[in-house]
Amino acid sequence: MPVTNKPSVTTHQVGATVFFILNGFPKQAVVEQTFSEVQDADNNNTGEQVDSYYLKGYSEKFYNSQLATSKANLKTLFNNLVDAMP
Amino acid sequence: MPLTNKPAVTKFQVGQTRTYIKERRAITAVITKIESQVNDPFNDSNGKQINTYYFANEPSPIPEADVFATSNLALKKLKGGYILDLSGTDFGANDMSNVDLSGCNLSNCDFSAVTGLAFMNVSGSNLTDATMHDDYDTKAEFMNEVGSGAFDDDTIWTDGTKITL
Repeated sequence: MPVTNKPSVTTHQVGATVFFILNGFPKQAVVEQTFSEVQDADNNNTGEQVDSYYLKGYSEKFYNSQLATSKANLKTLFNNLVDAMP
Repeated sequence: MPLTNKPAVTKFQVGQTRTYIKERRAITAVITKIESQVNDPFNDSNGKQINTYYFANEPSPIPEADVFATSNLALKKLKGGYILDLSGTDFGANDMSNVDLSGCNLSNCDFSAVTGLAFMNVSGSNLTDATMHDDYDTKAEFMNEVGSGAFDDDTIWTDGTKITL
């Protein structure tokens, strides 16, 4: 059976401001382009989607796990990463 | 304003068998990966989505414009016109279920006595002035009977308008 209804809407949209940490500093930038890849590598008809983002002023590719929708959410994201340390 | 609800669902899905054109050859294979790129080049909050398809045993990415639901539709693109002129054909009391008539000129054809139309594919076909069975002689009845995927925006209905309008 084929996958259905993919790709799903990305978490962050083109034109939205996102918050992230780069080289130890908090930053914010606008999403310039999103890139979604859909595959079904495990052949279970679910379809795996990987979203990546290009931000204005940055050449790096960013992933959902690196980006937050607000300063407060970035703090939460950072705290969760610290809390997850062994 | 940021875009909303992007990317949209792609026309074709991973796992479907579809036909693509490469170097003027029509090749049928399974879609293994789809890439969707979204940006807003005109900054008008509408956004532009570019979909690219990867097929089994095909290393090159294929743009959506070169991917087709049926091999007939790929051949129609290569030919630059309907692949078969069946205009005026009387299909009699035949069961036309599952018959692929996509990409064909079916104008003035007679489907009034057919015993079935389920999944008869008329994507990209021209049904202008065709006579339909009484049970399927409106756009809604016909589309419901043949089912989604068996017609598209390029299907011309009996009245000469797009079937999807």
